[in-house]
Amino acid sequence: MVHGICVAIMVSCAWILAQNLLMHIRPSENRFKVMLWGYLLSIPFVFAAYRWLPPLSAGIASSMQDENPFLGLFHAYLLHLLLFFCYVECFYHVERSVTLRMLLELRREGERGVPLFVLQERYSVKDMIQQRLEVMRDRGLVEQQNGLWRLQRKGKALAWGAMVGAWLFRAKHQHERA
Amino acid sequence: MSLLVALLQSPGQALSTKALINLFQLPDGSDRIYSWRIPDLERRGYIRKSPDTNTYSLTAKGRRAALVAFLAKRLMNLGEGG
Repeated sequence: MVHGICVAIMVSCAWILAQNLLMHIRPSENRFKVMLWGYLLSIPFVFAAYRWLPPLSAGIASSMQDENPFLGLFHAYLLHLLLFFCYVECFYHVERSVTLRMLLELRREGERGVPLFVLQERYSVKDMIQQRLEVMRDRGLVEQQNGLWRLQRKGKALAWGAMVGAWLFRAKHQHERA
Repeated sequence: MSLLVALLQSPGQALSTKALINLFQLPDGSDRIYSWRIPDLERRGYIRKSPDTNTYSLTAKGRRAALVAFLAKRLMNLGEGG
């Protein structure tokens, strides 16, 4: 099992790093598609690494003697999948987080600081919403007709998913917060 | 995601940009984006408010978090985002 975990971590780190380096050479608009391809292409490497990479320590090697090799491989693939989900979540948090944007704005100002209204002007709620609506339109989640925004089928499915998720985790959406 | 849910919950499932922006405004003139984040970041020790100049700046903890965010954005080749 430990060998499987090590393999999943190593393969995941390798494809995530390679994918990010590729984004510097050839940036892509649809990052999710690139992440998904990165994950899918790395799948055979999990098997190869599990089969042919030597265990990291003698202790791991000896524990592998008693374990079912299929169970070890199953753990490798399961963690590989979970790390993919974790990476996607981290990516969108880094890309879209308003809090991180605020911290970066404050970092740029250094010790002298900045008044709140300046921070709000630099990245206003209006710009934030406008920008997000345009991104969602480009991704086929919403459409604009006669000045009104409407959900597309994909957007509706995602909105339902978000509502169920919020209900399950007793979370509030941004527009519902006080 | 919040915008999608707001559209789903709206009558007729359609809203103008202005109506969507209004959903994020509070009656006291502040908004639902910044109003809870600033006190939350302050309480958790990421930012501090100068009582003399009324300006916000990063604490040491905030600088570390901002540096990690900066490096992550550079690694992922992302813009300012948010």
